[in-house]
Amino acid sequence: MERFAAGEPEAVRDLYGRYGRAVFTVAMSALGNRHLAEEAVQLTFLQAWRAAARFDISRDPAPWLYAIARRASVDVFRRERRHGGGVPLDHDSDIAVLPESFEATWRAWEIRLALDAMPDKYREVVEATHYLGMSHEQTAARLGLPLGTVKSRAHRAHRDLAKRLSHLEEATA
Amino acid sequence: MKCDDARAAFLAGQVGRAESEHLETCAECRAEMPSLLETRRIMESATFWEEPPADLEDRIVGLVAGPGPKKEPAEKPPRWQLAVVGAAAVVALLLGVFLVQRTPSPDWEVALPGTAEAPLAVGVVSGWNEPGGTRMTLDIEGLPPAPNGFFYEFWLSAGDLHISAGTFTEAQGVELWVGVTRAEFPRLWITLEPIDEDESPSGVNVMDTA
Ligand SMILES: [Zn+2]
Repeated sequence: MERFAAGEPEAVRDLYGRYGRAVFTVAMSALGNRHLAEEAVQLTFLQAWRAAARFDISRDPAPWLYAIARRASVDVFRRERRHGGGVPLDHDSDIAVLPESFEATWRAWEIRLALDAMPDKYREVVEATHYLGMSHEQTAARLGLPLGTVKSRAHRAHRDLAKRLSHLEEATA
Repeated sequence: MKCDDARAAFLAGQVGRAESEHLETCAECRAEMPSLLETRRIMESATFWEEPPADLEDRIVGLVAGPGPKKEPAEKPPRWQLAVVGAAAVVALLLGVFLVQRTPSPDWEVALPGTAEAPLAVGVVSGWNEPGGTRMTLDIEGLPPAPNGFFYEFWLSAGDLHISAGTFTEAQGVELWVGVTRAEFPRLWITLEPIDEDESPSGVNVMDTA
């Protein structure tokens, strides 16, 4: 973060390596379109880069970067809405409303960061469970692992995830 | 059964009799249920698992390293220069400063007066038309730092449609980028916004070209 704040272009790689996927997740959950999400991710890092000199490097950059990502997504969304692009129009409102709420994109960001912090062997089990909708047996067959290994990894991964996300309030709370 | 194990099972969607019984007796886990279900809902959407393209990192590094703005913290005009001259003179002065500092000079500049909420504030917005949007710098005097719990937000507006160009807490050396042009969004203004989840210009209007 120090190199980033000092304006070294290569330091963008470090920040992207840590947060790029989570920024993309926020943009995708807000915009639902890969092309627009890529644009929002570029905008996010560009704006973060331009604001880097004013960033307090003793602080955790994650909430700061999330705020920029969310706002960049909103900007892309509003522009697309104005030009009649691939985002829904809401004629009753002057301000565009994203399909996913602030709470939901924040949660998606936190989940993505929690998964990124996990060893691959746990993350792949979570992905098979939720993304592919697989049972433990199917996951074991897909990954070529004993059933008991899949069960224990799934349990540990979900326990870890539940703990890491326990600070999040329920969306409607 | 421990709470951690019960919650793991709920999150995984692997709920058996032991977990159900635990839920009946544990108010804390019952309170966590909506949050666990919301997390599961998000993880079950295909959108959540989309991966960014492999070349996106290089594109971003190219954007920040390529021709275009570099941060110039040491090259800002000294504050006293701005403090002693009026708004009209600021435009002329900054134009001169930017001609020396930047190539090319800004595509447009506009004076940004303070509203009745910030009568001492005076500033100039300089804009560069770039592919896909507009880069702007703010040179503002007389606007105090945003108080705790608030930030300033810079807006471009066309009628009732408002685009945020970014936020800041201190008006010194602010650079902004927005994916629209000033020709489309002629009104430039700044609000003082509370830190909340409202993403519309809901705060106090402190500076405005309108
Ligand atoms: Zn419990």
